[in-house]
Order: sequence, then structure tokens, then C-alpha cells
Amino acid sequence: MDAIRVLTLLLASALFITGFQLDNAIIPRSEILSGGPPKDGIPAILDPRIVDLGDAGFMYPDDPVIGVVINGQARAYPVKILNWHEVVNDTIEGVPIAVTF
Amino acid sequence: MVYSRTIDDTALSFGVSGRLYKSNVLLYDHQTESLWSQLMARAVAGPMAGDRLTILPSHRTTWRFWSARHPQTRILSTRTGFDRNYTIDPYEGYYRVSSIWFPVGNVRKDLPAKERVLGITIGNEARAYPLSRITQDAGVIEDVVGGETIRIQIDPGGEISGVSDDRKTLLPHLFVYWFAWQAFYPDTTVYASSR
Repeated sequence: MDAIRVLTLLLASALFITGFQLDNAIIPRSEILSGGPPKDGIPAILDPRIVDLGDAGFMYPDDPVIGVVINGQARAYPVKILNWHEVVNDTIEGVPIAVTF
Repeated sequence: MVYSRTIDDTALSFGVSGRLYKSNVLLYDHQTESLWSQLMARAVAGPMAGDRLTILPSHRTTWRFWSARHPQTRILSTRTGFDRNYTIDPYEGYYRVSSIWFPVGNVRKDLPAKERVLGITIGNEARAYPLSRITQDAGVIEDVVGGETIRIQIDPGGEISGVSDDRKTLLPHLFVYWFAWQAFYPDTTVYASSR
């Protein structure tokens, strides 16, 4: 990657991370830091595709998962997907949940 | 951790803010653009500052264990709509806690650098529970952190199914490498007693 592209990316990042209201923060503002990828640089999952056990050929037995049971419905979230997205916005049996890692 | 994302009858949806607090990722909600601390389960800035999310019980385990215990389980597919290679760990070669990654440095010798720990902070006290030590037997570990009595529920199979206080309120906790935990909480204590 050449220097111009790096500079452009840095500028774009700087623009993206502005814009949150911090004046009423309940934690010290000075401790809210920018770090890592910019806003939405890690894309959250908003429209998760959920499949049955029989369609889970992408899973290996030792793969870690985060599992929940809501109103009797069990659902698993592979850590290898959460690694790339940080948060999955899902709904189970009418209950909206956020799965984070 | 898993949260209910309904507040005052409105379902929020969350994205990744690119901001950090105490080296932990801050989420934001698309509806109000408030910032939310994953660890505190609370909005820390913006229109919803001070509001809390309800933590739901969740389990961290292997696919083998989960699918055997819940044969009817459904699962999030790797067909996410994003072009990512889910067979690769994006943080390979780094120690990581929730979107923080950094190269290896000096590590306190209490535990091996890559020992996995359950980390809990209450008040000014941080304590690490080495998973290899606490998941040997099913049962409940009772301990005192930051002056509060806590209970860690260990299920058969070594699964940690919940951390709660003595009012049965679920408590935030993290599963991380010792290396990362001791970097964030240099004064952390380490759970030592055997049951």
C-alpha cells in the first residue's frame, strides 16, 4: 500500500470517529479513547442468518460458541464469527438480544 | 455477554463505535447514538447515559458440548453477507480482549501468559479465576470480590453458566487470557483456594 492510500485511510478514520455526544458522559471523558478500527470499521451483524443443526457443516466440534436458551429455544453463536463482528443483533422467540464477545 | 436490547419497550440495535473505555470496546446504538460499555452493561454517554441493559444467562462452551446438550439448537451461519474468512482468526498472533489487541510484553508470572481466566471486577477489586483451576468440578464457587459475595456456577462438562451476586443478579464477567487481564488490571488478585 503506498503512502497516499495510507494517509487517505487515516484521514477517513479520523472523520468517522467523531460525532458521539460525550458532554454528559458518566465516566471520565478523557478515558473514552479512540482505538483500533473506526466507527463501524468492525461491522456488527444486524440481519443474522440462523440455520438448523443439519446446515452447520461449517462448524468443527472444538469450535467455541456462546449459547443461549430463550423461551425454550437454544441458539449458538460461533466465536469465530463474533471475532469478526463483535456484536450480533438477533431476536429469539420475539425477544430482541445482543450477543457480544 | 448477551443482553436484552429492549429498553422502555423499544428494541435498540448495536454497532461498534470505534471508541474504547478501559481498553474495552464501546458499542453504540443506532437509535440514539449513545455509547454503551459492554463490561458495565450501561450507556456511558449520549441521550441514554446511565441506562442499563439486562444481562441474559449465556454459556461459553464448545460446539460439541452445546449441540449434544441442545439437539434442537439453531446456529448463526457463516453466510453473514460479509466477505470474511471465518476460518482465520483476525487476531492471530495477538492477545485480545473485545477488540483490543496488542503485542506480547512483560507478563506477571502468577499464571502462564495464555492461561484462560474468568475475570471479574467489583468496586476497586479485580480478580482472575484460572479456568483450569475452577472448571475441574461441577458446583458453585462462592467468593468475595470488592466486598461483595459472588457465586460462580460450574455445570457438568466444565461450563460456566453464570456469575451472580447474593441477590442473584447476574454480574458482568469476561473470559480472557491472563496476559490481557493483568495488563488491564495490574493490581488484580488471583483466585487460589481449592474446593
